[in-house]
Formats: sequence, structure tokens, C-alpha cells
Amino acid sequence: MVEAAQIKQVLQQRFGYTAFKPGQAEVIRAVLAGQDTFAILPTGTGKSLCYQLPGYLLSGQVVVISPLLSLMQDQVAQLHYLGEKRVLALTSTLDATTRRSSLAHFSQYKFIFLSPEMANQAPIRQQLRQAQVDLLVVDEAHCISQWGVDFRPDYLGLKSLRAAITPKATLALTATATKRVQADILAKLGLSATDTKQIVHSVDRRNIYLATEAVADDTAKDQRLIELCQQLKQPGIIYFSSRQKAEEITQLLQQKVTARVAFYHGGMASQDRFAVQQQFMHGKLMIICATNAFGMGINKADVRFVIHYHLPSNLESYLQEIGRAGRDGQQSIAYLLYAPRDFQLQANLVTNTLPDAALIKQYFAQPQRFANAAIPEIDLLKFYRQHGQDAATLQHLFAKRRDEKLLALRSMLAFLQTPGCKRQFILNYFTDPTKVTHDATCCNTTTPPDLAALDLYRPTTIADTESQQQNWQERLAAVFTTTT
Amino acid sequence: MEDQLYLLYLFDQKQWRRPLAIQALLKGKRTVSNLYAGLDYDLLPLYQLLPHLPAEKFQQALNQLLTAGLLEQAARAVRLTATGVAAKARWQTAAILPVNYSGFEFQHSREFSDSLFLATQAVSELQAHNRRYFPLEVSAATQYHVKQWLYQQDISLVAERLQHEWELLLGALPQQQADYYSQFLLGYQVQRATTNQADQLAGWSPLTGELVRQEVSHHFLRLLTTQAARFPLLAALWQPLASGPLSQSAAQTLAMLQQGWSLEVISQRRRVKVNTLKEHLLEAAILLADFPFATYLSTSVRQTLALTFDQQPVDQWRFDQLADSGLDFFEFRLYQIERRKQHG
Ligand SMILES: [Zn+2]
Repeated sequence: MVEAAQIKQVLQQRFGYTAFKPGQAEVIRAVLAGQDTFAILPTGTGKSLCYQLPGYLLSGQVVVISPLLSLMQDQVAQLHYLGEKRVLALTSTLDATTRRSSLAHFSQYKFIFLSPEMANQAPIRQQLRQAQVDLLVVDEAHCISQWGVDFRPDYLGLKSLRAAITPKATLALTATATKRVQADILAKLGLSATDTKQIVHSVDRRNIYLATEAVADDTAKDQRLIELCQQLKQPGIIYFSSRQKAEEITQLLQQKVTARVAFYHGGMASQDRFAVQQQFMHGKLMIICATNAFGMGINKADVRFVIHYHLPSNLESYLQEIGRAGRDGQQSIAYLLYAPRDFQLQANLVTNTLPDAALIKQYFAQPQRFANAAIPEIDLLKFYRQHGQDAATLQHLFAKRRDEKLLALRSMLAFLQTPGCKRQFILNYFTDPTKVTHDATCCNTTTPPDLAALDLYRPTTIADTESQQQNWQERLAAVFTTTT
Repeated sequence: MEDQLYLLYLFDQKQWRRPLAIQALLKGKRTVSNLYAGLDYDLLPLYQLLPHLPAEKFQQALNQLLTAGLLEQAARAVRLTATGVAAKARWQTAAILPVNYSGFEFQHSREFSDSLFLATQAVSELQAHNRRYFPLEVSAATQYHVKQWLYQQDISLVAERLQHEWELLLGALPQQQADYYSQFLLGYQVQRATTNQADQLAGWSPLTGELVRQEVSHHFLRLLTTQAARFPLLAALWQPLASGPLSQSAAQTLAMLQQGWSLEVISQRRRVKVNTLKEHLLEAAILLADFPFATYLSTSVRQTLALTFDQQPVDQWRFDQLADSGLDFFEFRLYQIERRKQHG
């Protein structure tokens, strides 16, 4: 049994904190006691500490299943930053040599990050089976349910992975999950509701004002976005569902608002993504135009606004994304701008990645014809066919999945249209028992946000000048000059 | 500057060239047929110049130039028209073209520039006594490589020396290129620019930016390999990455042959087909300045080949002209490479 004093000591010495944030201590105690745990902690409350800290008090390894490459890279970078070198991220970007040598030294790593696809590969499973895994972590566990049936069939393999490596404890972590999704996560991991400790904290983030605003069309939206970026206290993040739009709006904001804006999306080289993150962390960039690839691991406490330019595909994503604001507890604001055609746009986006009936029929008639097709829909069909499913079952499955996705998207619409308190709407959606006292600092259901009262006006005195050294002599001097 | 005009640089008025082979060469696809095309077109140094070039972009640019009448096409080959030649001449004065770039000489230049920036960051943070920072994201091999390099340095002097070598390197570049490249420096309280930001600052297209980055890193490598004494730190950083122009596998084949093993024995030992080993030899024949052609082409074989081909321009030779000779494709191609290298 690990003593509370030991836990406190690691917290201070390794992580430099004196106190836990709500929920952290409870989760850490549970997993250290070998208890399977399912934790729902709101974004911005340091979920990764819940497995990082136990790593130092367990003799075996910590295996973290992570849904996104960028998230994994962020988490590895965090651990490196804390001085931890025994970190391995098994990703598709590893070259063959590095991968071979990593697997050869597998037992030397304390923290191992994997995508579900990697975790299903035979040689890696073999290594995991032989390893002494004390803690299996499924990060962003809502993805099991959100993605498990379409993009990421590999999540379905986690149950057998868990059975194969028999960790002392399993920890599923997420910031948002409805009751139905919670049950789904437990089932997909082979955890029983009675034997799993469930630690659920309110998803509410009271210091984030919730604003939604209808605009007539894209031109009006761009205009409104410019105004908001001029008025609101920075730094801020603007989310888009298209890479191209994120790049376009960056240009627009550069012309109209500030030079200190850049875009960030999964199509960029990793060193460019790194550069944007670093500039944002250090206050060189004040606004990021991003896709959802940005931010899962971003540890910037003073983000003052999150604006959604496009409709998020569901309330879970919305809550995750706005949760990147106000981690320092200071007043912040979430703005969702929507035009009448946004719903249809998003509906097409969320459903066109699912194979339709015609494709399923064609594929099952002549699967060999698609042998070399590098299309996600075909990969998906291939996976299910190899697992013994027939065309009729899949047609039914994907039709159902399409309906579910549209239903989830409609919850966004209901959120936009609710005549009541928006915060209460979200809490009800996630069956969170918290009762909201709606007032002028809560949401814009009754009156528009009073930026002055919220203290969210950008001071006009701030000069927008600080920029990079532009000639090489100055820049070199900056790198090699110590001003500490 | 219209990016598609860069393509003009890859074509000739007289010689018909296969765009697909050129594209593969730029991407760094090392097959004997691509390499031979590179030799034949005098474009070998451009190997791996644009490893991320999307095929559809290349094709699109090609179509634009064909439609504009700057290029003409026959079967699978393309050459410059008279208008194309004029456009190329006009454009060459304004364009930034790779001069120092040498794809085979500095095969691992990308690993080198990753190492260079990571090493600089590490030294800068070290100098500021800061241990908590996010190191530049590079491959595990590069991280290891930079760590080893840092262990060899005298910590009290490394910052000053490294700064000095950077000054020599950047000072040797045209000011605009030096300013551009320095945007990617990072260190204590200094964040690097994204390629997009640096391109904007210089007023360059993404393609021009990429070409400049390649050119600058090869320019650096040219300086520190030819004047190693002036760059002790950076020459040591490059040293483990330096290799000949051959692929690892081809280099191994050649080394074993030099030790006196026969192709058959090497084939058994390495479990590699004899035909693959012969491709390694052809690769070496194309890329090495001192390939021993005589070892693989006996006098009698050479006579047969000379009899068939010597009245014909090299690029018109066809293997099927040797149908009854009993010679194989390896001998045909090897002789072709030798003659192409002799007569240019
Ligand atoms: Zn409210």
C-alpha cells in the first residue's frame, strides 16, 4: 500500500506541484491500489498526471493507448520536459530501424504510448504480453465509443489486449461521456460496472462564458470573427473543420487584426506544428486557427477565448475544445458562430466517411478488386470482412452508425436553439446532476455577453509589435545571448 | 514567380526526357532506370531534392507548360520548345535555383539540418542553465546522435565556438538566404518560425522556400566538408552522417566484391538474388567516379557490344539488338553507362 506522504513527495519533487486538482488524488490512490478505474474529469484539470504520477510508484510499466498522433507527441514532449527519458511512442511515423531498436529495448521504458492500431500488431502484442504492465491507460476513452465503430475498428481489439497483458489496473480517462457512452466504454474494455471504481466530476467549467451567435452567411461570419478577434482579450483559439478554411482565415486575420496569428492542422510537418505550439506557449502568437488536431495536449493556462467557426460534430467535441480556455480559472469565453448552411455542411462531413450501401455491395461482390485501394472506407470494410461479417450486417451497422452521428450532430443544433440556459443544457445532456444558477456571467440565452463586465475586452493600449528578429545577425545573437 | 516554371529547368531543347523518371529522381526513388535517366539527362545531383513532391502537382505543372506551348510531348517524353527555351532564359535570372545542392554527395542532409538545429537549441539552453524545455521534434536516431556530439564538447566553450561557426556559415550566404534560414533557429527564449511564416517574411512561395532550405543546408555541407578545419564542431556533427553516394545495401555488395567474394557466394550469404546484386553494381557504375568497368566487361564482350552499337548514339541503343549474342541486360546496361560517362 502506497502511503499518502509518498504520493505527495512525488507530486512535489517530480512535478513541482504542492496540491492536487479535484479528482486527481482519488484516481491516483485507486490505480495504485490495483483498482480498475474509470475517471471523468473536466478538461483542463491535468488528466495526464493521473497516470504519470503512479508510474513513479509502480515497479512495472505504464502503457497508454492514445487516439491521436499529435496528442501522443504532446504527451511525450511533456514527459521529456519533466526530465523523464524512459518514454517510448510507438507511432506509424517511426522508421524501421528506430522501431526495431525500440522493441529490442522495450523493457527499459517506463511510459509507452501507442495508437490502438499499433497495439493490435502481432509483434507489439507479443512484447506487451511479455512485459510487466502495471497500469494500462486508455486516454480520451470516449473515442472508443465515438470512433470504435467507424474510423477506428482497432479500438475493438482493446478488450483482448487487456486480457492478454493482464495489467494490475486499467484506467479509462475522459473529459466527457454521456451515461450511454460510459456504459459502452466499460463494455468495450471488458470492465464490469460493479468492480470498476467510477470517479466522475462535473463537466461544468463555470469560468467559461458560453455564447452562440447566428450569422446570415459566411461573409457575415468572417466580419463578425474579425470584430471578435479585435475586441476579445487574447490569447485565443479558433476551431475549423477544414484545413483550407483555417489557412484562409489566418490570412484574413493577418490583414485585419494582427500579425501574430498562425494556422495549425494535421497536414503540416511535425516541426512546423512544434513551432506553432512553442510560439503560442511563449506568447509570440496570440491567435491560432486550428483543426481539432490542435490542443489535446496543450498546457497553456491563459487562453481567454475559443471560437468555433464551424459547427462541432457533437457536444462532446464542443466541450473538449472550449475546455482549452481558462485553465487558470480566470474568466474566459466560448463563442460559437453559425450560419444556416453549417448544419448541412457538417452533416456531410460526419457521414461521408462511412461506406454507403452501394460500396458495401460492390466490395463484398469482388473484394479482390479493392486489394490496393488506400481508402479508409475500404480498410474499414476489409477489417469487418476479415472478422467474419457479411454485407447485410454491415449495411445495417453503418446505417445505424450514420443515424447515430446525425443524432449527435442534432444535439449541437438543440444546444444552439435551446430557449433555456445553455450550461444547464450541456449538464443535462451528460446527466450531470449539477444545478446551474444562470446569471449574466453564464451564457447568452437571455442577454448578449457584456464583455466589459466580464473583463474580457482587449486593452487598446497593447501594442501589436513584438515580432521575430528578422536578420540573421540579430537572431543568432538572441540564441547565444543569456539574459538570465 | 510561377512555381510551374521551375520545371523548365529540368528539360532540354534537344534531348527528349521522361517526366516520370525525373519526378522519381526528385523524390529520391533509387532504381537503376531512374538513376540511368538522371545520368543521361545530367540531372543526377537533383536526387531527393523534393522528397514530398505530390505526383499530381508535378503532373499539373507539366500540363500547364504543355498547354502554354513551353514544352512539347512525344510518347512518354518531353522537351523544351523554342518558346520554352526563351522563357527559361528569362526566368533563370530571377529564380533561386539550387547551385550547391548535391543529392548523392550529401544523402543525409535532412538528418544533418535536424541535428544542427537541435544541437544549437541544446547549447543555447545549456548556456542559459535551463533544463526544462521542449526539444525540437526529431527522430530518435538524430536525438541520440546530437547527445553523443554534445558529450564530446568542452561545455565551457561550446556556445562561443558554435556561434562562431554559425557566423561563418551564414556570413557565406546571400543575405536574403541567411535571414531566411536563421528564422528556423531556436533556443533559450527563442522560438523557431514555421516554414509558412519564414516564406511569408521572404516573400517566397512554399516551393521556393523548400528549395532554398535544401540549397542552404547543402551549401553549409559543402563549406564544412571542404574547409573542415574552420568548422571543427559542425564537421564532427556531420561526420557520422557522411556516407558515399551508394545505398547501404549496394555499398555492402561492393565491399564484399572487393574482398574477393563472387556474386553467387554473396547471393547465398546475404539471401539476395544475383539480379539484385547486379543492380547494385549498375548503381555503383552510375554513381562512382572510379567504377572498375573492366572487371565486369571482358575484352570479348566489349568487342561484341562495340560492333553492335558504336555507330549509334547512346540513347538509341536497344537491348533487343543483342538478341543472338548471348549477352545479358547487365552487360548491355553497364557498357551503356560506361560510354555515356565517357562521351557525355
Ligand atoms: Zn446560463
